[in-house]
Amino acid sequence: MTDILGDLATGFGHALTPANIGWVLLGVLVGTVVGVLPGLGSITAIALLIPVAFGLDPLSGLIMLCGVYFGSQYGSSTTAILVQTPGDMGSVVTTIDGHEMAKGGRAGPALATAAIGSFLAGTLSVVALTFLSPWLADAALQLGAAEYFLLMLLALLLVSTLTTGSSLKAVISALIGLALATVGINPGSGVPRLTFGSLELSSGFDFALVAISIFAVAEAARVLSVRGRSAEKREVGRIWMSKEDWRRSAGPWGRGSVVGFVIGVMPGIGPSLASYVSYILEKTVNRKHRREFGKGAIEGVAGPEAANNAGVGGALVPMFTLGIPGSSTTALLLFVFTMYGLQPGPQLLETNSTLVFGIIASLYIGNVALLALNLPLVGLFAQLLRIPTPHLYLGVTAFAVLGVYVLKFSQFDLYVMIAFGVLGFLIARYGFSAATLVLGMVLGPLLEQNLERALNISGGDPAVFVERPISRVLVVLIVVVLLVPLLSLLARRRRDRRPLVDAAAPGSERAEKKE
Amino acid sequence: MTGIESRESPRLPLLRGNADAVAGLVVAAFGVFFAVAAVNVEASPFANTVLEPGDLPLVVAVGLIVAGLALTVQSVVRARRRAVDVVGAAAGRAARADPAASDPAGSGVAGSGGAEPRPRPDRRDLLVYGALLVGYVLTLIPLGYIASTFVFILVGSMYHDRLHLVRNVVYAVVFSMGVFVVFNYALGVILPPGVMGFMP
Amino acid sequence: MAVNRSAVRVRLAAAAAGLAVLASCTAQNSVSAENYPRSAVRLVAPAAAGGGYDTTARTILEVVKDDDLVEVPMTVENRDGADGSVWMAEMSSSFEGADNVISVGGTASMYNDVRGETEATFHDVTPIAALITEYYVLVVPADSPYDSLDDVLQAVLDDPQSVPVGGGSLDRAVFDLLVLAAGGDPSQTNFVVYPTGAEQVVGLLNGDLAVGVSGTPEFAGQIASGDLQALAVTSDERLSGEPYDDVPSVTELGYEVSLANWRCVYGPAGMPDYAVRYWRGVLEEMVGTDAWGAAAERNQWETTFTTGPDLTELIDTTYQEIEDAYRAAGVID
Repeated sequence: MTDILGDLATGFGHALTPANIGWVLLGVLVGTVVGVLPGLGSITAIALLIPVAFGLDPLSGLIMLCGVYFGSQYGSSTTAILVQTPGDMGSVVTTIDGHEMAKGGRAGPALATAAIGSFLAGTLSVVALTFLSPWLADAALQLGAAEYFLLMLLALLLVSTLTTGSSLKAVISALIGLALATVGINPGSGVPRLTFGSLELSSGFDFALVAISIFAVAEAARVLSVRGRSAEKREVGRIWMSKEDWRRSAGPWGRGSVVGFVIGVMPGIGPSLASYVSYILEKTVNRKHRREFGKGAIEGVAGPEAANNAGVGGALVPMFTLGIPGSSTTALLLFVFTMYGLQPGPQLLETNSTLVFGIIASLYIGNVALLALNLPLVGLFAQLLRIPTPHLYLGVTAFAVLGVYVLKFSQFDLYVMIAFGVLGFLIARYGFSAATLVLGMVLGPLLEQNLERALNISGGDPAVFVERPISRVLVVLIVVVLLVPLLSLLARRRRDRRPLVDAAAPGSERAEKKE
Repeated sequence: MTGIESRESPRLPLLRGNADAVAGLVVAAFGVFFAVAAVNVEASPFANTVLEPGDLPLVVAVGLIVAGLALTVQSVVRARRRAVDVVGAAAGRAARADPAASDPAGSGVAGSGGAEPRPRPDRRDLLVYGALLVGYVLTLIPLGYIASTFVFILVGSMYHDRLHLVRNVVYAVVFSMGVFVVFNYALGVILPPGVMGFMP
Repeated sequence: MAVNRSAVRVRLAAAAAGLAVLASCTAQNSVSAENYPRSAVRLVAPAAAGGGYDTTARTILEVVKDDDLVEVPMTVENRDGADGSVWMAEMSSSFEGADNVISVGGTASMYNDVRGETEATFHDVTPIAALITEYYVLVVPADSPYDSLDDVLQAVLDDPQSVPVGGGSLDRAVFDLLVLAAGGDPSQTNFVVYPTGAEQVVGLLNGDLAVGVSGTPEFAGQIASGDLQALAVTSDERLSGEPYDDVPSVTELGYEVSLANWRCVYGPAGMPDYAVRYWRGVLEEMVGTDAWGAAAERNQWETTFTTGPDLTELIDTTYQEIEDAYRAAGVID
């Protein structure tokens, strides 16, 4: 413990030089800006700055890139809230309640709770990274393919919690996402699936491409075709959070931090799942405001935004302790380590502890810088809503096209983008859920690959899923998740036997009340 | 998918005006298409494969068919029940006024469960946006980033707001040039130069 | 079979491309030959940022920039898709005759070629020079019951199901060849695909996998720390850099297994001669620099600069090796 504190103090000594503070600031600034732009995520931002980083010494370069990583997670919530377009995968679920808040004139509090939650979670996760890394990395290694499969299955079974509407439609949305995820070469066998002979389709649909099109293009099409309708009148409203907002955000921030960090530590699972799990958690534990979820509940922004930032800190744990990247972004960071002549691996902490603790120290600084940068920007970003609607959404579309184009510089991808734009439009129009679809897509490959691995390793014996205590717990949870809706349905049937009107879906009930 | 849609949306009295029922059928039809495609996926070339490449797609396809049909049945049953309510409980106002009951094209509001009633999109606006986007995507490489982006934003903003020509032009110029300059010179990402190829 | 067919197509394509070059080799082109290059050149990594091709491309760019080997601006562009096959198809068609774009390539896309799933092979583009070779390594967890390659292969011969081997989908071929060399049936190996080295390390450390096989850079950190134990590398002789310098080679262990895994730089179909000559020169100079040597050592690459007829031969041999490996495993007939 005292060792760690001593190392950390040395780390701060290196990170707090004026030059290095400058690089942290530059990193978080660029990260925020790129995160804000729809279609450009943390990977793009880091790839763009790698040439700059190589001109610097390892510590300066790496702390700049880590700043970019954190910054992009801060920035990605902004467009999710303002124009229902996630800036990065971690903010997909933020579109649900964040954008509803913005529509209700509460863009300011939504942005503020995202920024403060990101700061708290980011800092807490760095504290955990500093002190708990070795222990956590060992814990993560207790999970094998069977456990991962069960976890993904559990997550998939909970997708309908993401919508307020028909759970059947949520299921369909998730299934469409799963269907899209199966397109491309099946990694296990090398067989091309559902590509219809197209080489371009053989690497499948890129998550970022689908997310950009299904949110940004569809939303722009929707908004630009309902001009003049009073419902779309957007007001900036109050900028700062009320006392009530603070009270309601505190719990989600804390829970989001823990959940996001834990999920981030598991290698191979990204911040998008961290924020998603946090959303489910908030909706489950919050009895008082549950009906507000999906209609602008601040908890639906505070939790997930805390979780995706904590996930970033978590993803650094396996990177520093085991030398394995927890996400594609950390994979890129690892490459930077090698370019500097550093061998990323478990021994990095021993051989280069000054560097590692310098980076960790810079993460504390970066989080403070991000809060200082983002809180004043909340007001400014909220003012973006004053841009005339056509200009704002044409700009969003142009950024979406740019984002898709720079992914692979491919004309084909641009056509795919239009196709998914149409799909996204129909999905929103008929009450299906784009966020659920994207999660289905994220979960699909994880689900299939881990199932395939678990079965291959066991020689096809399904007992592999109940062999270890952790997997048994997961199986029980899955059974519970499957049974609860069934039981509550039965209970409701009994209760609702009286008047026929009540037997209709809650949705139609609500629609009728409105009139 | 559109081809399937047109085939699958006959104006059966049960489906009429019931967008969810139609959507369910479209999903089920897509599921059938996907199932056929999944069955035709090659088998793994390796002898000891447990999970074949076509397995998950097939499960998903079956799921889509079942869920799609369930959605159709559910919404038809609900529409009927609502109709019964109208007669039985004389609470007809709510159901009649429901756009879903009278409007075949834009609907699903009542049945879509929870989603707030959204104003119907203007078809012309939608077509214009779609045409602009397709045009933008097609001209991005041949015309180059600056020219195509300029045209896209200028035409789009003039269509929605023809009173502010100067503002629209300034916005289109600043946006297209600004992004191009930042990407090409600051970030080192080469965007298509096209007709502006003379720029350094 | 696929190779033969594509080889015929290739020769036709090459002839056509040659004619096209001849036809267009008018005054205009000979002018550009003298002061080439005049404008920015794109170096394409046909993979996502952070992947093997990307690492190679960015390393080339860094060394070239640091040593001022190229006077014009160069950028790395990521064009992911089917292990590089998507981009190779573009280079063979859309960029035909261009002199301002070059790309990193390698053996990965050749597996797709051999399965007959691609539109363009190395015969449809202009290979400039092979730069590096990456060898495969077989690893087991530190607490593994297996202490040597022989142990592993014997266990596979006894009961293939009991030895889950993890690797990328292309790493499978090399393990299959080892099993074949040991007298086993490669189609029975319990090979589980883990697309990234990171996932393989997790699989080895959490007990899912008994053996891992991958390119040497993937496991270097864990071998150095003692979490993983390297049993053999697939080179003819031992490798020189740490942590592989004391790991036996398969040849020395008595297994005749050869499966090249190299990376090269190639140009589009019908790339003008002056451009090919220019880049060949630049790359040859580049691999001689200290910066390159250091980068290669860090990445566990062996610099194997090959160009001209030798490169053509290398490409043909590699196609043949992959075909043999696939045939042994029953992937192709």
